[in-house]
Amino acid sequence: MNAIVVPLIIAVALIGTPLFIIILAGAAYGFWSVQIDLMVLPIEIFRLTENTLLISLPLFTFAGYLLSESKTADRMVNLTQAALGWLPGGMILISLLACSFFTLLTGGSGVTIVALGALLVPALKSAGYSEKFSMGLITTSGSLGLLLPPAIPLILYGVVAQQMDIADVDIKDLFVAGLIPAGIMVLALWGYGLWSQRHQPVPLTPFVIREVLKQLWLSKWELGIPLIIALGLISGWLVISDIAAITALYVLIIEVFVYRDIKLSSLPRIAADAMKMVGGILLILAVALAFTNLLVDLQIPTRVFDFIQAHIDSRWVFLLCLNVALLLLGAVLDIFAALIIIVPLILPVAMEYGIDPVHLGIIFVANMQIGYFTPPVGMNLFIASYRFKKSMTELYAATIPMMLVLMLVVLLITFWPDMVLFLVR
Amino acid sequence: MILLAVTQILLRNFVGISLFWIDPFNRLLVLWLALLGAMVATREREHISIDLLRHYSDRLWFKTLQRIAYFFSALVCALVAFHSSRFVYDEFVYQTTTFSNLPAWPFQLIMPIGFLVMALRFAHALVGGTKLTHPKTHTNISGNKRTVQ
Amino acid sequence: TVLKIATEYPDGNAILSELRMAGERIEQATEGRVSFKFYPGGVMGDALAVRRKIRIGQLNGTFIHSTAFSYEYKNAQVLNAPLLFRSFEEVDLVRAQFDDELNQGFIDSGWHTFGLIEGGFAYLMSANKVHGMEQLKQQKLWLPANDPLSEKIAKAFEINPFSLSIGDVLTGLQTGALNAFLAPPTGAIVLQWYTQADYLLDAPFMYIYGVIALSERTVASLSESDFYLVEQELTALSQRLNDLARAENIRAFDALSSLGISTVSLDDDFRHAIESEADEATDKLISSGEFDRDLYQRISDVLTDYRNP
Ligand code: NA
Ligand code: NA
Repeated sequence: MNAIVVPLIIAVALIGTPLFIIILAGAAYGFWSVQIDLMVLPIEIFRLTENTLLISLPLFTFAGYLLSESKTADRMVNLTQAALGWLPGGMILISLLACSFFTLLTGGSGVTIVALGALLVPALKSAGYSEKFSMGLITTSGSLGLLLPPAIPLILYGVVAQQMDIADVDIKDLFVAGLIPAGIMVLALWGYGLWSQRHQPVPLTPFVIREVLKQLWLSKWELGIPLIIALGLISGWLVISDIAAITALYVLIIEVFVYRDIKLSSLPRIAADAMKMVGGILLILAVALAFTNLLVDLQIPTRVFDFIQAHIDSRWVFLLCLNVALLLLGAVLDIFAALIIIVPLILPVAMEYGIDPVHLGIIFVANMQIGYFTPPVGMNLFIASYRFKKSMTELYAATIPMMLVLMLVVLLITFWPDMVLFLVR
Repeated sequence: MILLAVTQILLRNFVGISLFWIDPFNRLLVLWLALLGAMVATREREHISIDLLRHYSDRLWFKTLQRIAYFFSALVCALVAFHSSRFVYDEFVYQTTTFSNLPAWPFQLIMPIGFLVMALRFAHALVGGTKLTHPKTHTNISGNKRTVQ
Repeated sequence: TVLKIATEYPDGNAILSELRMAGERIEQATEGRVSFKFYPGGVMGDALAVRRKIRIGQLNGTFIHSTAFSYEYKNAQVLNAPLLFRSFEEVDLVRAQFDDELNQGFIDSGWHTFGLIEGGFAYLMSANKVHGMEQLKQQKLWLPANDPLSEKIAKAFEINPFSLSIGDVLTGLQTGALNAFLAPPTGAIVLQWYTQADYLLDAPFMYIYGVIALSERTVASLSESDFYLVEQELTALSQRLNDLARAENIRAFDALSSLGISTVSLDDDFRHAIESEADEATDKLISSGEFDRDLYQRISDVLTDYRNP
C-alpha cells in the first residue's frame, strides 16, 4: 500500500497541488494506515489556537505590508547609504542585523520575512544587489537570531534540559554561548554577500555627516519603530503580542497621516492582502501540526535516535550524524516539537560522549535554524514564496548557497566547542 | 484585532484590568483568519505549491495534470470538511466551552465550512471554472500572486 | 493492546522513568498482551486536545492535573478551593478520609483513575513583599490563560490578574509586566520563575493534584484478568508518584530559601483577612456550581475539628 500511495502523493505534489493539501494528504494517509480516527486532523488544526505567539503574526504582517506599500524602503536605503555607504556591503549588514533583531523578538515563526521582507528586498535591490541574492539573503535571515537572547528556542532547550535532572544547564549560559555563533553567522553571510556580489555595481559613497543628519531627519518617524519595540521590552509595559499591536497602530498612523504615503482608501485592500497571506501561512502551520503529530504518534524521532545510538561509537561521528539528523528533522518538524521530543533523547547520549550540554543546545538550535529553509519544506521558503511572489524553485536556487555557508558555520560550531564555550566556562 | 489588543494594553497598564476573554478570543480569531484567508487564496489560486513544471504551463498535458491536482485537492478538502463536521458535532455533544463559559462549537464551525468551500472551489476549477483558461492563470498557478498594482 | 498515554511531564526525569517501569512490569505480567507507549512533554497538546484524542481513541489515557476532568466531574475541584489547607498534615488527614470517594467520583464519570497524585501547594511568589490584603490586590499577578477555575477564583477574590499563557510568563516577569505568580515550588524552580521573585507568602494558596486516567473504552477492551493486573500496577504507581511529589515539593520549598527567596509569614490580621476572602470566594464557586456544598462542608468540618481540638 505504501508503495502506491507515497509515490502518488509525491506525484501530485510535483504537478503543482497546493502544499497544504499535500501535507494534509500525507497526514491523513499516515493516520488511516495505523487506524486512527481521522477526526485527529481537525483536532490538530484546532491546536493552532493553543499558541499565544501566533496572535502577533497578523499584526506584524499588517505593519509589514503598510511599510512595503509606502516609501520606507527608499528612506531606509538613503539613510543606510549615507551612514554606511563607505562600508562595503553596508546594506547587507543592516539587513542581517534587522532580521536578527526581529527574529529574536518573534522566535522565527516566519514573522520576520513577512514584516521585513518586502522592505529589505527592494532596499537591497535599489542599493545595487541582484534580486536573486536579495531574496535568498532575506529568506535565509528569517530565522537568523534564534541563537540570540531572549529567543524562545534557547529558553525551551534550557527548560527541557533542567527537567531531566542529569545536566545542569543555566539559561543565562545558553544566552552567552549563543552570542559568538550568532555573530559568526552574520559575518559569514555578510562575507559571502560581498564575495558573491563582487561583480554587481554597488558604488561606495563617502561619509558626509550633513547628509546622514538629513536622512536621519527624513526617516525620524520610522526610526521610532525599533525604539518602540526596544522600549516596550525594557520598560515592562508590553509583551510581544502587545508590541505587535502597538507597532501596527504606530505604522498605520505614520504612513497614512504623517508621511501620507498610503491613502486611507487603499487601507482595506492592503489589509485584505495581508490577511490573505496570513491565512495561507497559518493554514500551513496548522496542517504541519497534524503531520508533526503523526510523526510523534509513530515515535519516528525516537527511532531515528535509537538507531544513531546503536550504530555509532565515536564522538565526532556522533556529532556529524547528529547534525545530519537534526537538519533532516528540522526540515520537517516544527522547532518547538523538535526540542521537546528530541532533546530528552539525545542529551543523555551526548553527555556520555562528553559533549557539554550548553554546546549541544547551541548545535541543536543552529541546526533547527537551517531547517527553516531546507528544501523542500522549510517554513521560511513557503513564507518567502508568498511574500516575494516567487516560485518555490526560484527560492531553492536563491537560498542553497547561503544554506551551505551556514552549514559550514554549524560545522565550525560543532567541532570547535571552545569557540562556543569560552565565554561561559 | 489591533483595537482589541490596544484596548487590552491600555486597560491593563492604566486601569489595572485584564479581560480574561481577549486572549482566548484573539487566538480563536487566528483560526478564523487562517481559514478565511485560505478560502480567498483558493478562489484566487494563490496557494503555495512546488511548481517544477511551471514553464510548461502552455501545453495541453499541463492542463490535464492541473485537473488531476484540482481533483485531488477537492477530495482532500472534502475529507477534512467531513471529519471537521464530526469534530464540531462531538464538541457540541460533549459541551466543550471556551472563554467566558461560551460553547466552543460555534467558533469551530469555520473549520467544516472553510474546508467545504475550498472543496467546492477546487471542484469548480476542475469542471472548467473560467479561470482555468484565463490567461492570468499562467502566473497564478505557481502560487504567485497576481500583481494588483 | 498498546495503551498510549500522554502527559505534560517532561521526558528524562524520575516521573517518566517510574511510568515506563510500571509499563514494563505490566507488559511482563500480562505476557505482552498489554504494553504502554508514553508521550511526554505535552507533545500531544494541552488538556483539551488530549481529552479530544482520548475521545477518538488515538490515546488511551493520560497523567494530568485533576481540573482537566472537571467537565465530567465537578467535585474533582473541591480540593482546589483557595486556602483550604494550611499544611501537609491537614492534606493527609483529609485525603485519608476522602481519597476513595473522590477516586470513585472520577470512575463514575467515565475516567478510570487509580488514586490521587499530589502536585503540591501553589504559593504566591512576588518581587515585592506582600504583608496585607491591600498589597496582595496591587500585585501584577499572573494566572494561566484559558483556565476557567483560576479565572473564577480570581473574580471571586476581586483581583485583576494578568492572563498570559505559560510561555510568556518568564519574559513578563523579567520585563516587569508581571511581578507575582502562583506556583508550586518545584514548578517555580524548573521554569526559572524563581529568579524573578524575592518573596514567598507562607500561605498555601491552592492544593494541586493529578491523576492517571484511562478511558472507559480502554478499560472495556481489556480482559478482566488483564485489567486487574493493570489496576494493581497503576494503583501502586499512583501511590509512588504521590510520595515522590511530596518529597520533591518539601525539598524544593527548602531549596527556595537557599536560592535567595525569603518566606513571609502572615500575621494574624492578614491571615484572618485572606482566609475570610477565601471563604467568600469558595462560597461563590459553590453557588456557581463548581462543586457540591455538601462535600465541601464535610471536608471543611474535618479541618475545623482538627484546628479546634
Ligand atoms: Na523546522
Ligand atoms: Na518545518
